[in-house]
Amino acid sequence: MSSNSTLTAMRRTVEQLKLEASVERIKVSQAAADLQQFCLQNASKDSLLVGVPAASNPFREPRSCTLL
Amino acid sequence: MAMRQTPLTCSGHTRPVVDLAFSGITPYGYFLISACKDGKPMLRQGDTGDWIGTFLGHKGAVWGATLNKEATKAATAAADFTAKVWDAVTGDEVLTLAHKHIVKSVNFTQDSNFLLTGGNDKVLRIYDLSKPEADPQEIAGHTSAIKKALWCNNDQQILSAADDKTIRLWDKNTQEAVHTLSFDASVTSMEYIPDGEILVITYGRTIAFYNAHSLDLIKTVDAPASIHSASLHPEKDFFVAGGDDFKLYKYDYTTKEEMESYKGHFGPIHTVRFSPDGELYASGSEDGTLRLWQTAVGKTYGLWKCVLPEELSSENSEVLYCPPAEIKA
Repeated sequence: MSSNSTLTAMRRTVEQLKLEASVERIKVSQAAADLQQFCLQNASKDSLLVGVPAASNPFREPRSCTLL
Repeated sequence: MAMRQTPLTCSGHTRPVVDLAFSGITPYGYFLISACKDGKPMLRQGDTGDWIGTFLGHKGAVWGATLNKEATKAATAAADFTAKVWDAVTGDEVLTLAHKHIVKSVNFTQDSNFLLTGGNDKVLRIYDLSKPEADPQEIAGHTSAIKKALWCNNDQQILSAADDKTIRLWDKNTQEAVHTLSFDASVTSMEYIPDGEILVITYGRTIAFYNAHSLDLIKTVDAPASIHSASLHPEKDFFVAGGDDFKLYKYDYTTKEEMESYKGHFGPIHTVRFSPDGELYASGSEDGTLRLWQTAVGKTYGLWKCVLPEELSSENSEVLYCPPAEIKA
Protein backbone atom coordinates (compact mmCIF):
# COMPACT_ATOMS: atom_id res chain seq x y z
CA MET A 1 0.00 0.00 0.00
CA SER A 2 1.78 3.09 -1.22
CA SER A 3 -0.17 5.46 1.06
CA ASN A 4 1.10 3.52 4.08
CA SER A 5 4.73 3.72 2.97
CA THR A 6 4.51 7.45 2.17
CA LEU A 7 2.98 7.94 5.61
CA THR A 8 5.91 6.18 7.29
CA ALA A 9 8.37 8.02 5.03
CA MET A 10 6.72 11.31 6.03
CA ARG A 11 6.85 10.37 9.71
CA ARG A 12 10.56 9.59 9.40
CA THR A 13 11.12 12.94 7.68
CA VAL A 14 9.30 14.74 10.51
CA GLU A 15 11.41 12.96 13.12
CA GLN A 16 14.60 13.83 11.22
CA LEU A 17 13.54 17.47 10.91
CA LYS A 18 12.74 17.59 14.64
CA LEU A 19 16.25 16.34 15.40
CA GLU A 20 17.79 18.88 13.03
CA ALA A 21 15.75 21.75 14.46
CA SER A 22 16.86 20.97 18.02
CA VAL A 23 20.59 21.09 17.20
CA GLU A 24 22.38 23.87 19.09
CA ARG A 25 23.47 26.64 16.76
CA ILE A 26 25.90 29.51 17.20
CA LYS A 27 26.98 32.29 14.87
CA VAL A 28 29.79 31.57 12.41
CA SER A 29 31.91 34.40 13.85
CA GLN A 30 31.54 32.90 17.32
CA ALA A 31 32.35 29.40 16.02
CA ALA A 32 35.43 30.71 14.21
CA ALA A 33 36.62 32.47 17.37
CA ASP A 34 36.03 29.33 19.49
CA LEU A 35 37.91 27.14 17.00
CA GLN A 36 40.85 29.52 16.95
CA GLN A 37 40.97 29.66 20.75
CA PHE A 38 40.74 25.86 21.06
CA CYS A 39 43.59 25.34 18.60
CA LEU A 40 45.83 27.85 20.37
CA GLN A 41 45.07 26.48 23.83
CA ASN A 42 45.68 22.86 22.80
CA ALA A 43 48.70 23.53 20.62
CA SER A 44 50.99 21.71 23.05
CA LYS A 45 48.95 18.51 22.67
CA ASP A 46 48.85 18.69 18.90
CA SER A 47 51.01 15.92 17.40
CA LEU A 48 51.24 17.72 14.09
CA LEU A 49 52.85 20.70 15.79
CA VAL A 50 54.81 19.08 18.57
CA GLY A 51 55.76 15.77 17.00
CA VAL A 52 55.39 12.23 18.27
CA PRO A 53 58.13 10.61 20.42
CA ALA A 54 59.84 7.92 18.34
CA ALA A 55 59.09 5.20 20.86
CA SER A 56 55.30 5.41 20.52
CA ASN A 57 55.22 6.16 16.80
CA PRO A 58 53.65 3.15 15.02
CA PHE A 59 54.86 4.44 11.68
CA ARG A 60 58.55 4.87 12.48
CA GLU A 61 61.13 3.36 10.17
CA PRO A 62 61.41 -0.33 11.05
CA ARG A 63 64.82 -1.21 12.45
CA SER A 64 65.95 -4.67 11.59
CA CYS A 65 65.99 -7.16 14.43
CA THR A 66 69.04 -9.37 14.82
CA LEU A 67 68.40 -12.87 15.93
CA LEU A 68 70.95 -14.38 18.22
CA MET B 1 50.09 54.67 7.59
CA ALA B 2 49.25 51.74 5.34
CA MET B 3 47.13 49.08 6.95
CA ARG B 4 46.31 45.99 5.01
CA GLN B 5 42.62 45.56 4.30
CA THR B 6 41.42 42.15 5.43
CA PRO B 7 37.93 41.55 4.05
CA LEU B 8 35.46 39.23 5.72
CA THR B 9 34.56 36.53 3.25
CA CYS B 10 31.02 35.21 3.54
CA SER B 11 30.57 31.87 1.85
CA GLY B 12 27.45 29.79 1.56
CA HIS B 13 26.09 30.57 -1.87
CA THR B 14 26.82 27.99 -4.53
CA ARG B 15 26.38 30.20 -7.60
CA PRO B 16 27.17 33.85 -8.49
CA VAL B 17 25.84 36.55 -6.19
CA VAL B 18 24.02 39.06 -8.38
CA ASP B 19 22.43 41.54 -6.00
CA LEU B 20 22.66 42.63 -2.40
CA ALA B 21 20.86 45.14 -0.21
CA PHE B 22 21.24 46.46 3.33
CA SER B 23 18.39 47.27 5.67
CA GLY B 24 18.29 50.48 7.69
CA ILE B 25 19.78 50.61 11.18
CA THR B 26 17.49 48.76 13.58
CA PRO B 27 17.72 48.21 17.35
CA TYR B 28 19.32 44.85 16.50
CA GLY B 29 21.94 46.35 14.21
CA TYR B 30 21.61 46.24 10.44
CA PHE B 31 21.16 43.36 8.05
CA LEU B 32 22.04 42.39 4.55
CA ILE B 33 20.28 40.19 2.00
CA SER B 34 22.02 38.60 -0.97
CA ALA B 35 20.39 37.40 -4.18
CA CYS B 36 22.02 34.44 -5.88
CA LYS B 37 21.61 32.41 -9.02
CA ASP B 38 21.26 29.31 -6.82
CA GLY B 39 17.71 30.48 -6.00
CA LYS B 40 18.36 30.75 -2.25
CA PRO B 41 18.63 34.33 -1.02
CA MET B 42 20.38 34.66 2.35
CA LEU B 43 19.93 37.02 5.24
CA ARG B 44 23.09 38.00 7.13
CA GLN B 45 24.00 40.17 10.08
CA GLY B 46 25.25 43.35 8.39
CA ASP B 47 28.30 44.16 10.50
CA THR B 48 29.75 40.67 10.91
CA GLY B 49 28.49 38.77 7.87
CA ASP B 50 27.12 36.00 10.10
CA TRP B 51 24.52 33.92 8.31
CA ILE B 52 21.10 34.25 9.90
CA GLY B 53 18.87 32.36 7.49
CA THR B 54 18.10 31.37 3.92
CA PHE B 55 14.75 32.06 2.28
CA LEU B 56 13.61 28.83 0.66
CA GLY B 57 10.90 28.77 -1.95
CA HIS B 58 12.08 30.17 -5.26
CA LYS B 59 12.43 27.70 -8.12
CA GLY B 60 14.87 29.69 -10.19
CA ALA B 61 17.78 32.12 -9.99
CA VAL B 62 17.05 35.07 -7.73
CA TRP B 63 17.99 38.27 -9.55
CA GLY B 64 17.01 40.91 -7.03
CA ALA B 65 16.60 41.08 -3.28
CA THR B 66 15.77 43.84 -0.86
CA LEU B 67 14.96 44.43 2.80
CA ASN B 68 12.66 47.05 4.22
CA LYS B 69 14.10 49.73 6.50
CA GLU B 70 13.26 47.89 9.74
CA ALA B 71 14.51 44.54 8.37
CA THR B 72 11.16 42.95 9.16
CA LYS B 73 10.27 42.17 5.55
CA ALA B 74 12.27 40.93 2.60
CA ALA B 75 11.38 40.81 -1.07
CA THR B 76 13.00 38.85 -3.85
CA ALA B 77 12.72 38.79 -7.66
CA ALA B 78 13.42 35.56 -9.49
CA ALA B 79 13.68 33.78 -12.80
CA ASP B 80 10.71 31.61 -11.87
CA PHE B 81 8.51 34.54 -12.97
CA THR B 82 7.59 35.46 -9.39
CA ALA B 83 8.46 38.08 -6.84
CA LYS B 84 8.09 36.94 -3.24
CA VAL B 85 7.63 38.85 -0.02
CA TRP B 86 9.03 37.22 3.11
CA ASP B 87 8.83 37.73 6.85
CA ALA B 88 12.48 38.49 7.57
CA VAL B 89 12.14 37.54 11.23
CA THR B 90 10.74 34.03 10.78
CA GLY B 91 11.86 33.33 7.20
CA ASP B 92 8.33 32.46 6.13
CA GLU B 93 7.10 33.22 2.65
CA VAL B 94 4.32 35.77 3.03
CA LEU B 95 3.32 36.51 -0.55
CA THR B 96 4.01 35.22 -4.05
CA LEU B 97 3.35 37.69 -6.85
CA ALA B 98 3.09 36.02 -10.23
CA HIS B 99 4.53 37.80 -13.27
CA LYS B 100 4.62 37.04 -16.96
CA HIS B 101 8.39 36.89 -17.25
CA ILE B 102 11.62 36.92 -15.25
CA VAL B 103 11.44 39.49 -12.45
CA LYS B 104 14.69 41.40 -11.99
CA SER B 105 14.13 44.08 -9.37
CA VAL B 106 12.09 44.66 -6.22
CA ASN B 107 11.95 47.72 -3.96
CA PHE B 108 9.88 48.62 -0.86
CA THR B 109 8.57 52.13 -0.14
CA GLN B 110 9.82 53.76 3.07
CA ASP B 111 6.68 52.65 4.94
CA SER B 112 6.94 49.11 3.49
CA ASN B 113 3.36 49.32 2.26
CA PHE B 114 4.05 49.15 -1.45
CA LEU B 115 6.34 46.94 -3.48
CA LEU B 116 7.70 47.98 -6.87
CA THR B 117 8.71 45.23 -9.29
CA GLY B 118 10.33 45.30 -12.71
CA GLY B 119 11.59 42.63 -15.04
CA ASN B 120 11.85 41.18 -18.50
CA ASP B 121 8.22 41.85 -19.39
CA LYS B 122 9.16 45.56 -19.61
CA VAL B 123 6.39 46.65 -17.22
CA LEU B 124 6.77 48.28 -13.81
CA ARG B 125 4.29 47.05 -11.24
CA ILE B 126 3.26 48.55 -7.92
CA TYR B 127 1.69 46.16 -5.43
CA ASP B 128 -0.28 47.37 -2.44
CA LEU B 129 0.89 44.95 0.25
CA SER B 130 -2.20 45.58 2.37
CA LYS B 131 -4.37 44.36 -0.55
CA PRO B 132 -2.25 41.64 -2.14
CA GLU B 133 -5.06 40.05 -4.19
CA ALA B 134 -5.80 43.34 -5.92
CA ASP B 135 -4.24 43.90 -9.32
CA PRO B 136 -1.03 45.91 -9.27
CA GLN B 137 -0.77 49.35 -10.80
CA GLU B 138 1.14 48.93 -14.06
CA ILE B 139 3.46 51.41 -15.77
CA ALA B 140 4.55 50.54 -19.29
CA GLY B 141 6.91 52.41 -21.56
CA HIS B 142 10.27 50.73 -21.61
CA THR B 143 11.03 48.96 -24.86
CA SER B 144 13.14 46.22 -23.37
CA ALA B 145 13.78 44.34 -20.14
CA ILE B 146 13.88 46.40 -16.96
CA LYS B 147 17.02 45.84 -14.94
CA LYS B 148 16.40 47.96 -11.86
CA ALA B 149 13.41 49.84 -10.48
CA LEU B 150 13.62 52.14 -7.45
CA TRP B 151 11.29 54.40 -5.49
CA CYS B 152 12.59 57.93 -5.17
CA ASN B 153 11.72 61.47 -4.16
CA ASN B 154 9.78 60.46 -1.10
CA ASP B 155 8.18 57.46 -2.87
CA GLN B 156 6.33 59.82 -5.21
CA GLN B 157 8.43 58.95 -8.21
CA ILE B 158 9.97 55.84 -9.71
CA LEU B 159 13.34 55.45 -11.39
CA SER B 160 13.80 52.56 -13.78
CA ALA B 161 16.81 51.41 -15.80
CA ALA B 162 16.33 49.05 -18.73
CA ASP B 163 18.21 47.25 -21.48
CA ASP B 164 16.81 49.80 -23.94
CA LYS B 165 19.72 51.98 -22.67
CA THR B 166 17.40 54.46 -20.99
CA ILE B 167 16.70 55.48 -17.44
CA ARG B 168 13.24 56.90 -16.93
CA LEU B 169 11.84 58.90 -14.05
CA TRP B 170 8.10 58.28 -13.63
CA ASP B 171 5.49 60.02 -11.56
CA LYS B 172 3.70 57.39 -9.48
CA ASN B 173 0.30 59.06 -9.73
CA THR B 174 0.15 60.11 -13.38
CA GLN B 175 2.17 57.05 -14.45
CA GLU B 176 3.94 59.19 -16.99
CA ALA B 177 7.63 59.51 -17.70
CA VAL B 178 8.76 62.87 -16.39
CA HIS B 179 12.37 62.57 -17.58
CA THR B 180 14.32 60.16 -19.73
CA LEU B 181 18.09 59.71 -19.87
CA SER B 182 19.59 57.93 -22.85
CA PHE B 183 22.97 56.26 -22.97
CA ASP B 184 25.17 54.65 -25.57
CA ALA B 185 25.71 51.60 -23.46
CA SER B 186 23.53 49.48 -21.26
CA VAL B 187 23.27 50.74 -17.69
CA THR B 188 24.73 48.10 -15.38
CA SER B 189 23.57 49.41 -12.03
CA MET B 190 21.67 52.18 -10.31
CA GLU B 191 21.61 53.38 -6.71
CA TYR B 192 19.47 56.12 -5.20
CA ILE B 193 20.67 58.17 -2.19
CA PRO B 194 17.59 59.88 -0.68
CA ASP B 195 19.62 62.17 1.57
CA GLY B 196 21.10 64.47 -1.03
CA GLU B 197 18.92 63.22 -3.90
CA ILE B 198 21.79 61.64 -5.78
CA LEU B 199 21.52 58.90 -8.36
CA VAL B 200 24.58 56.67 -8.92
CA ILE B 201 24.67 54.98 -12.31
CA THR B 202 27.24 52.72 -13.91
CA TYR B 203 27.70 51.92 -17.59
CA GLY B 204 30.77 50.72 -19.48
CA ARG B 205 33.77 51.93 -17.47
CA THR B 206 31.94 55.00 -16.17
CA ILE B 207 30.41 55.80 -12.81
CA ALA B 208 28.03 58.75 -13.18
CA PHE B 209 26.28 60.86 -10.57
CA TYR B 210 23.00 62.60 -11.35
CA ASN B 211 20.55 64.79 -9.51
CA ALA B 212 17.60 62.50 -8.77
CA HIS B 213 14.97 65.21 -9.32
CA SER B 214 16.08 66.88 -12.51
CA LEU B 215 18.30 64.09 -13.84
CA ASP B 216 21.01 66.68 -14.40
CA LEU B 217 24.51 65.27 -14.58
CA ILE B 218 26.65 66.09 -11.53
CA LYS B 219 29.88 64.34 -12.52
CA THR B 220 31.32 61.23 -14.13
CA VAL B 221 34.37 59.18 -13.23
CA ASP B 222 36.09 56.61 -15.43
CA ALA B 223 37.53 53.39 -14.03
CA PRO B 224 40.30 51.16 -15.41
CA ALA B 225 37.86 48.36 -16.19
CA SER B 226 34.23 47.73 -17.01
CA ILE B 227 32.18 48.51 -13.90
CA HIS B 228 29.12 46.52 -12.89
CA SER B 229 28.14 48.31 -9.72
CA ALA B 230 28.99 51.34 -7.60
CA SER B 231 27.88 52.77 -4.28
CA LEU B 232 28.24 56.21 -2.71
CA HIS B 233 29.15 56.58 0.98
CA PRO B 234 26.30 58.03 3.12
CA GLU B 235 28.49 61.06 3.98
CA LYS B 236 29.37 61.39 0.28
CA ASP B 237 33.13 61.42 0.91
CA PHE B 238 33.86 58.42 -1.24
CA PHE B 239 32.33 55.87 -3.51
CA VAL B 240 33.30 52.30 -4.32
CA ALA B 241 32.97 50.44 -7.58
CA GLY B 242 33.64 46.93 -8.82
CA GLY B 243 33.43 45.12 -12.11
CA ASP B 244 35.10 42.84 -14.59
CA ASP B 245 38.69 42.91 -13.30
CA PHE B 246 37.69 41.35 -9.94
CA LYS B 247 38.97 44.41 -8.07
CA LEU B 248 37.16 46.84 -5.84
CA TYR B 249 38.02 50.51 -6.41
CA LYS B 250 37.61 53.28 -3.87
CA TYR B 251 37.44 56.88 -5.10
CA ASP B 252 37.29 60.26 -3.43
CA TYR B 253 33.90 61.68 -4.45
CA THR B 254 34.98 65.33 -4.37
CA THR B 255 38.28 65.04 -6.26
CA LYS B 256 37.34 61.97 -8.36
CA GLU B 257 40.75 60.50 -7.59
CA GLU B 258 41.25 56.79 -7.21
CA MET B 259 42.30 56.23 -3.60
CA GLU B 260 42.67 52.46 -3.27
CA SER B 261 41.94 49.26 -5.04
CA TYR B 262 41.53 45.87 -3.44
CA LYS B 263 41.94 42.40 -4.83
CA GLY B 264 40.21 39.48 -3.22
CA HIS B 265 37.38 38.21 -5.32
CA PHE B 266 37.96 35.36 -7.76
CA GLY B 267 35.40 36.53 -10.25
CA PRO B 268 33.78 39.70 -11.64
CA ILE B 269 32.03 41.80 -9.04
CA HIS B 270 28.31 42.10 -9.70
CA THR B 271 27.15 44.29 -6.85
CA VAL B 272 28.57 46.64 -4.19
CA ARG B 273 26.73 48.53 -1.48
CA PHE B 274 27.75 50.67 1.47
CA SER B 275 26.26 49.78 4.85
CA PRO B 276 23.77 52.29 6.30
CA ASP B 277 26.37 53.57 8.80
CA GLY B 278 29.05 53.79 6.11
CA GLU B 279 31.55 51.76 8.17
CA LEU B 280 31.81 48.96 5.66
CA TYR B 281 30.81 48.02 2.15
CA ALA B 282 29.78 44.62 0.83
CA SER B 283 30.56 43.18 -2.59
CA GLY B 284 28.93 40.20 -4.29
CA SER B 285 30.74 38.33 -7.01
CA GLU B 286 30.59 35.68 -9.71
CA ASP B 287 32.74 33.57 -7.35
CA GLY B 288 29.69 33.04 -5.12
CA THR B 289 31.03 34.91 -2.12
CA LEU B 290 30.19 38.18 -0.44
CA ARG B 291 33.06 40.18 0.99
CA LEU B 292 32.76 42.88 3.63
CA TRP B 293 35.38 45.61 3.41
CA GLN B 294 36.21 48.28 5.97
CA THR B 295 35.79 51.90 4.95
CA ALA B 296 38.34 53.04 7.53
CA VAL B 297 40.93 50.29 7.38
CA GLY B 298 42.41 49.58 10.78
CA LYS B 299 39.44 50.76 12.77
CA THR B 300 38.06 48.41 15.41
CA TYR B 301 34.54 47.59 14.23
CA GLY B 302 32.44 44.45 14.01
CA LEU B 303 34.83 41.52 13.78
CA TRP B 304 37.82 43.70 12.94
CA LYS B 305 40.21 44.63 15.71
CA CYS B 306 43.35 46.64 15.30
CA VAL B 307 46.33 44.83 16.75
CA LEU B 308 49.66 46.59 17.10
CA PRO B 309 52.82 44.50 16.57
CA GLU B 310 53.60 44.46 20.32
CA GLU B 311 50.43 42.55 21.10
CA LEU B 312 50.77 39.32 19.21
CA SER B 313 47.78 37.52 20.62
CA SER B 314 44.30 38.39 19.56
CA GLU B 315 41.02 36.57 19.73
CA ASN B 316 37.71 37.17 18.08
CA SER B 317 39.14 39.30 15.35
CA GLU B 318 40.94 39.56 12.09
CA VAL B 319 44.49 40.61 12.82
CA LEU B 320 45.53 43.64 10.86
CA TYR B 321 49.08 44.17 9.79
CA CYS B 322 50.44 47.40 11.21
CA PRO B 323 53.12 49.69 9.75
CA PRO B 324 56.59 48.12 9.50
CA ALA B 325 58.16 51.12 11.25
CA GLU B 326 56.64 50.00 14.55
CA ILE B 327 57.86 46.42 14.46
CA LYS B 328 60.73 45.75 16.84
CA ALA B 329 63.39 43.32 15.75
